[in-house]
Amino acid sequence: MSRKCLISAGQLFTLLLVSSLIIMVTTNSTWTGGGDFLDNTISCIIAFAVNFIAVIPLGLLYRRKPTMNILDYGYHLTGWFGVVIALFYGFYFLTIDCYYLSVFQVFNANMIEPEMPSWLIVIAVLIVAVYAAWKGIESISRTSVFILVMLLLGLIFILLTAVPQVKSENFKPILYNGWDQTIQSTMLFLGRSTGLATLAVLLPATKGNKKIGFTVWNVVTYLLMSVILIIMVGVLGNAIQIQMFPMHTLAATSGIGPFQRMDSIFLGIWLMGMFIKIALDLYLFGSCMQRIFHIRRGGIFIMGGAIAVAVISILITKSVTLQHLFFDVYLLAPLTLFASFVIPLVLLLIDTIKCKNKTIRRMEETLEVQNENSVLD
Amino acid sequence: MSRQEKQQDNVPRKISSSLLENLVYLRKEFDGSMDFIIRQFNIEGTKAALITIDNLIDKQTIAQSILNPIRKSNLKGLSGMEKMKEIRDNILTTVDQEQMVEFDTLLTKLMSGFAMLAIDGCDFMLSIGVQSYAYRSISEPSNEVVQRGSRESFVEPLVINIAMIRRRMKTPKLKFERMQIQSESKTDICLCYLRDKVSPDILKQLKNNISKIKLETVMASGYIAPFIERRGLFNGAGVSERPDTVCGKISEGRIAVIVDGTPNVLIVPYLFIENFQTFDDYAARPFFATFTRWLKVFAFFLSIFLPGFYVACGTFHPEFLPQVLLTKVVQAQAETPFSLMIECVMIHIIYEILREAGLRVPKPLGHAVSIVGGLVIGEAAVQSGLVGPPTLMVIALTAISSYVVPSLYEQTAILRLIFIFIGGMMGFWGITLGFCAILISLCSESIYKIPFSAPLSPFRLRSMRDVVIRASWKVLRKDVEQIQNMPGSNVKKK
Repeated sequence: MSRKCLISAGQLFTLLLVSSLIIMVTTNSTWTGGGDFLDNTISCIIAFAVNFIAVIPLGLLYRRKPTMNILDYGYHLTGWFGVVIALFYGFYFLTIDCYYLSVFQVFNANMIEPEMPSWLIVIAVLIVAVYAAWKGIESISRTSVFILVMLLLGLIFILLTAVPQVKSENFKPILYNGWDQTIQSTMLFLGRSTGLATLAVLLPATKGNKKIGFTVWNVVTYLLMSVILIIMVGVLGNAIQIQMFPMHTLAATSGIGPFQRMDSIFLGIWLMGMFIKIALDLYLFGSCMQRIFHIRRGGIFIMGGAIAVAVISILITKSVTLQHLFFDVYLLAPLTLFASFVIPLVLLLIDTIKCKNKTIRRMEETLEVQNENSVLD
Repeated sequence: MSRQEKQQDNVPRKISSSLLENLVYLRKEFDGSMDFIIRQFNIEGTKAALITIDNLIDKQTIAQSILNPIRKSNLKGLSGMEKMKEIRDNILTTVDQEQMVEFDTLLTKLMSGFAMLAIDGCDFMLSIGVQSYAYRSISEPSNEVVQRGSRESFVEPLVINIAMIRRRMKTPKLKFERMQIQSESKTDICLCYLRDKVSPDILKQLKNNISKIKLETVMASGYIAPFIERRGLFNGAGVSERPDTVCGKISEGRIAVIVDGTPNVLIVPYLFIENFQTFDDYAARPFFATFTRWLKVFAFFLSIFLPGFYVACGTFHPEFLPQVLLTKVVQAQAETPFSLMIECVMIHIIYEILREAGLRVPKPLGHAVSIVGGLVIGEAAVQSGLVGPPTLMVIALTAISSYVVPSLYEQTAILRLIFIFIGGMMGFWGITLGFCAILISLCSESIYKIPFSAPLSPFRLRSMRDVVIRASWKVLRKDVEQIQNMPGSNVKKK
């Protein structure tokens, strides 16, 4: 199957970087399994290394057939089971959206307390994201370039204004309370990152050097995250443990000159990053559905997916049980593990076995022909 | 009307060899219009006529260059056809002339200021160029004022505009291509481009778009603009009244569309970033040009978002404002009966009414309108406690900012109003999402297969020398970037 290159590698990894910025801004001691945030920098290093290993099956699959994405591979190697794989990826992207939107609603209800209901904001976010997803991956990726510049500038500005408040006594020894938090936060960081799953679907639609892009994306993501964690610990100290959204607290307490608070910048960063993330996921969901139903445009599915995300994310916000299910790592981490590593690995193995069988069969046929020829001689 | 009759109606009518028949037909077509003139005379015993439209011709030229040479010539013994050929080949040698065989083209020429010479017994007429009509002289541009640079702006007649461009680009590669819009007005338009710079793909697509235009009348370039650009929030076709700006654009591979009877020239393709590039940028020192370019971008965002942000902060997020400013806003708000959003909308609409009135009002009344508008209404509104001074200040600042980038005024005015509503109803969240929606709209558009947001996104570092900064001419001259080579462009290469 020939596939038109729609975006450049730079645009793809810009998209992923904007998406991963949300991971950086939404971390707290409950989700990371403890208040020793410096331990999370170790998690960053581990997650960074794991990403390089986890991408191997995907990279090998792509090298074998650069025009096929994971959905095409699913159909090509497993037949009807390809529908299940496409469905899995589609619903995985929606699940991640539900998670991010519900975290945002929790933040809004607890920290901002707007006079308008949270669900209204959710619906507004989804309307704009549906519009973006409907416009296509080219539009989303071009927009993400503008948004990335703003996000990076905003983030750097917040961090620079926070640096003077860093106190050396706030830093405690790393791994003082053991490895538990490090392991949980590694699972959290990896579990919330849909980067590899996105690559699995979008790689064939990308032109340019993906290896450099992947490396830069990974390095920048985890480097920036480590810097944020270190500054957060340095400024907030022990108070970090009781903060629901430490990054917001950091922004709200930072200031320089007439800029007394930075939380408006933080809110902008979060919302813009989330918008890109949801638009991208809805687009990917639409692509999965297009692959299943063999249709040219997935507009109706994008809209349906957005409605499902709205309903589920509102339900999550209202139900503590659902919050436990979604906000803990035990749902997202296995799902991401499957989408990013297990499925590509299984497909790679099937492909390898099929290739080997084909080679053996071909060799046997050649041998038979040679034998027949020798008998005739 | 039957299909056969319709088909007959579409077939161009040929000129007859009978002069009487031709004149009857033309008289019937013009139905006694007072400017339609037929002067009949004899050429050595053969009936002839000179057909013109009054006020579009130069009578002196007709007398000196047509009638006098014909009368002085010796055409005795020749048939009508032979006389016409003799006049065409040997007598009227100095004037612009063309043989007409169909009434359709004859009528167009006639109404463009040509005189038609008809002789009985000849089955064609001779169109003779004697055009002379009143037109506005070349004056200073009124909308694109520059500090350094030419003081000439385009005028209404197409031919003069063509000459103004040609005078600035003395190269045979500069091509002017005439086309006509399928309309009652049969308006002439002219495509202007550099043959070696333009993309054939874009040119073909533009010609195709123009050939499909079907309008009753074309009275301004704005009539055809929607047909040659993609539908979207921002303009895909630029407008300029400056010949030097147009020359600069066509040297980058763009195509200028000159419409007869309008002093504005359309430029396609036109990217978003070009709204912030003015002629003065290239005449000023690079550091100052860079500064003004950033200023324009800042003013553009300010003019769209400031009122909305002000309303959002005042209504939902007072914590975003510095304490001193917040106190002032709260004090002003306590004395006014309306919410911040209503106040802003009110002032914005009053301002737009005043602006519209200022544009249409006769010049002598202009001062009175600005005094009543600016001083009386503004002052009175604050004094009476209907509007708070900070609101007035915010709208005034954004109103001035919106004129920094005049080509985006239409979008700015509407978006500003929308963002006031969004800010008042959804606060900061709404504004951020609105901003994202604008970005998506901007980034999803492509003009003639070139991304509208290029070269910012898709990004190209090399292009930033005339986007983020305005590099020196020593750098810019090295490689003029062609529009078809923008990053992300799908235009077929030559």
